Amino acid sequence: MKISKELIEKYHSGHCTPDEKKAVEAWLFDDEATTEPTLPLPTGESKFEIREEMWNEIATVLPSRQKPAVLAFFRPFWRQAAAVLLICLAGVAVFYLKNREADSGVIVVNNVSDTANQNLHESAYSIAIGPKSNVEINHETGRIDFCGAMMINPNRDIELTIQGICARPDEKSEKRILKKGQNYIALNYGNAANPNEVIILPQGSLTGLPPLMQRQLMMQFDI
Amino acid sequence: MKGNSWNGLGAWLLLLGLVQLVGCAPKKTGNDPGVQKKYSLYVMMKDGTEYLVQTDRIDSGHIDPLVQGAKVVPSRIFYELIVHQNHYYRLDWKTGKFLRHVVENKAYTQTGSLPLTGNWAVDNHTWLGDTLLILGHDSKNTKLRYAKITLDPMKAIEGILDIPAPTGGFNNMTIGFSTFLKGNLYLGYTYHKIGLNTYTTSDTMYITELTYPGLKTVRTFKDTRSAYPGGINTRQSHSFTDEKGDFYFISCPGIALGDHPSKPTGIFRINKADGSLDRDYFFNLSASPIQNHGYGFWSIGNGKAIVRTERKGLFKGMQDHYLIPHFDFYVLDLARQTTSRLNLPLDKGTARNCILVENGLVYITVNPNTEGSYVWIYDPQTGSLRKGLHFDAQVDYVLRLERLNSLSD
Repeated sequence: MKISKELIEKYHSGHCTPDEKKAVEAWLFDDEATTEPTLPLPTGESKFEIREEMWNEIATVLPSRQKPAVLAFFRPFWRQAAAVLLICLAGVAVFYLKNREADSGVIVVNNVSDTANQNLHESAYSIAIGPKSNVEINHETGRIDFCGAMMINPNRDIELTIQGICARPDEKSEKRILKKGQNYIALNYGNAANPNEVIILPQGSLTGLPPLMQRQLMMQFDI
Repeated sequence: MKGNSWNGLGAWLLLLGLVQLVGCAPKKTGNDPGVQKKYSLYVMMKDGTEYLVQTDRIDSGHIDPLVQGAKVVPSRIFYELIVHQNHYYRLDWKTGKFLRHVVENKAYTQTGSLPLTGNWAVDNHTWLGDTLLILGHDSKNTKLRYAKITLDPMKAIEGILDIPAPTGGFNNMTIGFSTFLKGNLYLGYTYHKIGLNTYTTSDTMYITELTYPGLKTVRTFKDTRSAYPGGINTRQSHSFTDEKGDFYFISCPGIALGDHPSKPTGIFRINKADGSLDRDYFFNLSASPIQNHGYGFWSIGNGKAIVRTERKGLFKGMQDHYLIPHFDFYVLDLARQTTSRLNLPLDKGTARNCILVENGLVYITVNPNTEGSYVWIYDPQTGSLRKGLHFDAQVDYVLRLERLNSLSD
């Protein structure tokens, strides 16, 4: 039996014969892809207009829905702009932190103890960071920024830029070679003539310092 | 009987031969006990190792410490030694033990040890006859300690000095001189603020006169014309009593000792007559043609002294103060307050026990970087300077020169 528009309308109005009803239901419930051509559209009507019409009709029977609170929150434009800005900033921060900690190998240690050293063991050297001292080590650039006092013991000859940052972080310091097996004391020496003299001495040369400073450092770093 | 007499003759001949053999044996060197050398030299080589060399001559010749010296272990004790009658004494401030060493068979060998109370280093020492008095500040226990030590055998009487402890932001102190004047003990001292990486000194010098042996305070003088009176006298000399019995000391506010460089380096006097600090005497070296700070100060007799002064502009700071040759030697006339530079190469090493006066001649060790290290001989009568003992090129610093004993020449 050919399924036509008229037959379907007849089915919906309940005027089909049992045979016609059976035929229409078989067609409706048949999930198999049919090779039969789809029903032709009434002449002169656009497929899109019909679809639009249908959706409009459906919309009238659907329960009306309010806009979500989240969307309402972001209605003012400035809030949208702020959100975008925040997301951007968070992204940059995450990238920066990841970069510092993992990718370029920057280590930051802040020893807040009043009396004890904090030890740091790297592949190229070990560092004992004195009380109330902090260091930031950049493995890529070979630069150590520090404030306070520390003892460095290289495992091999290394070239480092050791920069005191207590008072004048922008002051340029030169690279220097630290020899394997030697202990070096690095000190942001706050003396009367120069509040931030950066002193880097092999431990054997500590005797050049004022006697009290020498003994204090030798006791602190167990030299 | 005949046989016996031949036996007796044989024995005599044998004995004679032995005596001759002993007589022909090479003479003992100074490293053997019993034959004492006159001078002790403590050097640091360019590779950082240290040697004690004992010798009879410093006015000529050549010293190679690797051949003639005894390696010093532990290292870096050159500023702590007290040399007396062929022995080397020091207080090991890490263990609190007062130690005695000798150089024997080219080895620096410990021969005695005496445990002392507390945790301190020797700031100053002085002799009263054969008794050694050592003094120092025990910062851990905030006590100014002393020990009177007799040496043979080593015994100590220890005590605490009744000198005000550091207060008002100051947390440490140093005794810069100790001397006996008319039977009383005079101590020059000052206070410091010290942290792990900060250090400075009070703007006031203190001198306290104490009874001896009671060690009760008689009076205290305060002075602010300079800072940091004297210096640690196991490192080098900073004071002396002249032929008239007046006591002179240098103040050391420069960066290498007091670190109060806005004050001038100067010479002060304690008069024998009234035992008081002379308020009218102040030889301002920083304002003299020297125009710098100085540290070591040695008497060369006849109202004259030598001061070793740094030269600003040649060093950057404490980073290179010990490393760069920048020290001058000046002869001072203490009464006329005049200065005269000795024409010596610029010297290096922040502190060196480098001057010895004997028979009117002044022996000065100088260790520049390029012109060779020598004992120079200065004759104050004629003003002449000439080279004496030469040190091997591997010697970097000549840290101590002193008499080993008080035997006559």
